[in-house]
Amino acid sequence: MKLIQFIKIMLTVTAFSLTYIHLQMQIFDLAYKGKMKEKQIRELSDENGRIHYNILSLQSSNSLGIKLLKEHSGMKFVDNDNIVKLVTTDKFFIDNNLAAKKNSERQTNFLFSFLTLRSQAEAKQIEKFKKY
Amino acid sequence: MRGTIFDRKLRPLAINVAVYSLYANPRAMTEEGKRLAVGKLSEILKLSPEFVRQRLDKTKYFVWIMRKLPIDVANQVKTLKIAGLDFIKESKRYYPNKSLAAHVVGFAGIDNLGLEGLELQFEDYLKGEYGWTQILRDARQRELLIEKNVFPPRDGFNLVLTIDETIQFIAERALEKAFEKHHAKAASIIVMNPKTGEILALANQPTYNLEQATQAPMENRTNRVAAFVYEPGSVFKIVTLAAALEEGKVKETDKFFCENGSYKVGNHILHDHGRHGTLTFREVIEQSSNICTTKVAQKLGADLIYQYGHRFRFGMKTGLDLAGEVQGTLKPTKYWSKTSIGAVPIGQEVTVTAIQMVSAIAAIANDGVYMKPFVVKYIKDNQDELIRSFEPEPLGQVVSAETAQRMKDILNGVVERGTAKLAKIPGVSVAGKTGTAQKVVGKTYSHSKFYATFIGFAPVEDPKLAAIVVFDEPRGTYYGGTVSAPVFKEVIENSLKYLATNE
Repeated sequence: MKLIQFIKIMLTVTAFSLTYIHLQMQIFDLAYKGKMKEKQIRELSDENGRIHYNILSLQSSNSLGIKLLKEHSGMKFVDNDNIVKLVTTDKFFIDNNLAAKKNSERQTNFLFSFLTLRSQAEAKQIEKFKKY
Repeated sequence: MRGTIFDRKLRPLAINVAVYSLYANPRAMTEEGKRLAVGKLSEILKLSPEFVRQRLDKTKYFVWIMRKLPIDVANQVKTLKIAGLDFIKESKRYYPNKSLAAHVVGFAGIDNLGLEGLELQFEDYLKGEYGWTQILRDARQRELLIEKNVFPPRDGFNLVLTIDETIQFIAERALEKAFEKHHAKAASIIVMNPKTGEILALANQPTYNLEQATQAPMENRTNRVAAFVYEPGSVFKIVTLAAALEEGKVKETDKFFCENGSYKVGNHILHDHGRHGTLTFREVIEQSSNICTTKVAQKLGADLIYQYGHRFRFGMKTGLDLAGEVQGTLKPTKYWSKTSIGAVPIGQEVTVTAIQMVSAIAAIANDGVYMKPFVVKYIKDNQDELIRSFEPEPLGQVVSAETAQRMKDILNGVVERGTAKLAKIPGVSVAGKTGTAQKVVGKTYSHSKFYATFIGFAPVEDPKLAAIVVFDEPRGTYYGGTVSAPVFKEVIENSLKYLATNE
C-alpha cells in the first residue's frame, strides 16, 4: 500500500517537474527568440541611423549649396520684389491643420478611413484653398 | 547617446550614429586565422599589414584593431567570420554639414567627449549618463532576454542654437570666396540679430572639416572671432562719434580743419588717406579722417573717450557662450602717453575681438541698447521637454536712443557717400563703418600688412541684421571698404532676402 502511494507521489512530482522543466525551456527559448528579435531591431535601427545620416548630409545646406550655387549656375535668392505674400486668416490655418491631421490619421489607419465617409470634408477644404 | 546639436530651425548640425569598433582576442586566434586576418583586414580597413600583424602578435585577451568603423565596413569584416575577431557597438559623432559652423559647433573626440566649441562648452548637457543592468548569460556567453535591476541610460540633452544654417552657409561661402580672392592670411565674419544678440552666423577662414578635425592644424581650429585680438583702426571711431554726440560737444554740422593730411600729436605725425581741408563732423566720419577725429577727441578729452570705450564694453568679455573668449585691451587714461589721444580714438593702442566690435555696432542699431551675444537658444531633451532656455539679455544703454538715431544717420552716410560705397545694397538702407588698420610687426606699424574691417547693419530704419567682416593681411587691395564691405553686402543682401521668405 505504502509503495503504491509512494509511486503515485513520485509520478506526480515527476510530472510536475517535467512540466516545470518544459515551461522553463519554453521561457528560455522565448528569451533566445526575443534576443534575436532585439538584435534584428537594433541592426535595423543602426541601418536607419546610417541612412538618416546620409540623407541629412545630402540635404544639408553645405551639400545643396555647393551643388546649386556653383559659379555661373544662375541660381540666386529671390528678390524681395518677386516675393508674393499671401495674407491668410487664422481660420485658414486651423482648417488646414485639421485637414492635414485628418489626412495623416487616414493614412495610418486605412481600414478605418475606408469605413468612414470623409470625402465630403476633403472637398470642402480644396474649395477653401482655391479662394486664396 | 550624446545629444544632438540643432540650428535655430531644428536642422541637425551634429548627430550620433551607431558604429562598430573591431577588436581581437589574439589568444583565441590560430596562426592560420591571424594570417588570414592580416591579409583581409589590411585590405578592407586600409591599414598596413605590419600594423595588423603587430596587434595580433600581442599575448593579450583584448586588443583594438580599429575604432568606430562605419556599418558597411563592419559588415565586410563580419562576412570573413574569423574566430577571435569581434565588435563592440559604439556611437560616433557625425557632422552632416562637414565644415559648416565648425568654430561654433566644435567637435567630440574618439570617446565622444567634447574637445572644442559647444561640444566642449556644453559637455555636461550633451554627454548623457550611462545605464547598467544585470543580465543572464548561458554557458556559451549568449545573452538572454531576462534582465533584472535595470537602470536605463539617459540620452544627452539636445542643444538648439541661434545659428541659422542657411545664413551660416551664405556667410561662409562669401567669406571663402573673398578669402581666396585676396589671398588673406585669415578672415572672420559674424552676423547678428541686433535686437536680441542672437548670433545667426559665425565663421572663420581658414576653417576645417569637423569629421576630420584632428587632422586640421591648430590655426584652422582657432575661433578667431572670440579668441583673437587685433587693433581695429577706424571702425573704433564709432566710440568717438558716440561720445561726441551723446555729450553734446559736437554737432553733425560742426566744421573741422583736417590740416591737408598731416598733423602732429605729441611727437607723432598723423596722416589721412587723402588731403582733406575743412570737413563737417558728418564728413569726418564719412571720409574717415584720422586727423579730424583726433581733433574731436582732443575737444572731448581722454577721459570721455575711455569712458565711452568702456561703455561699449571694450576691454572686457562680452559673455559669449563659447569657450576661449578674450577681453582685449583698453588702457585706463593714467597709462596713456602724450600720443595716445591721437591713437585710441582712431583705433590704435586698443585691441578688440570681432565679437566685441559687432556687439558694439549692434548696440547702435538697437537704439543704444547693448545686447549680450549668444549662440545657444535653448536646451531640450528627446521628448522636447525644455531643460534650459537662454533669453536675450540687455547689458546696458550705451547711448540714448536719440544719439543712436543720429549715429545711424551718419553711418548711413558712410555707405552712401563715404568710404563704404561697396556695401550699398539696392533697395535697402545700410549703415556702417570701414576700418583699415596697419598691423604691428616687431614694434612698429607695418606698411604692407593690414587688417581690413567693415562693421554695419541693415535696414537702417528697422535693423534686422548687424555684421562684421575682418580680413587679416589681404593682398593687393587692403582697405576695409574694398575688401570687407563687398562681403558684407553679399551676405546681408542674401540673408535679408532669405529672411523675407521665411517670415
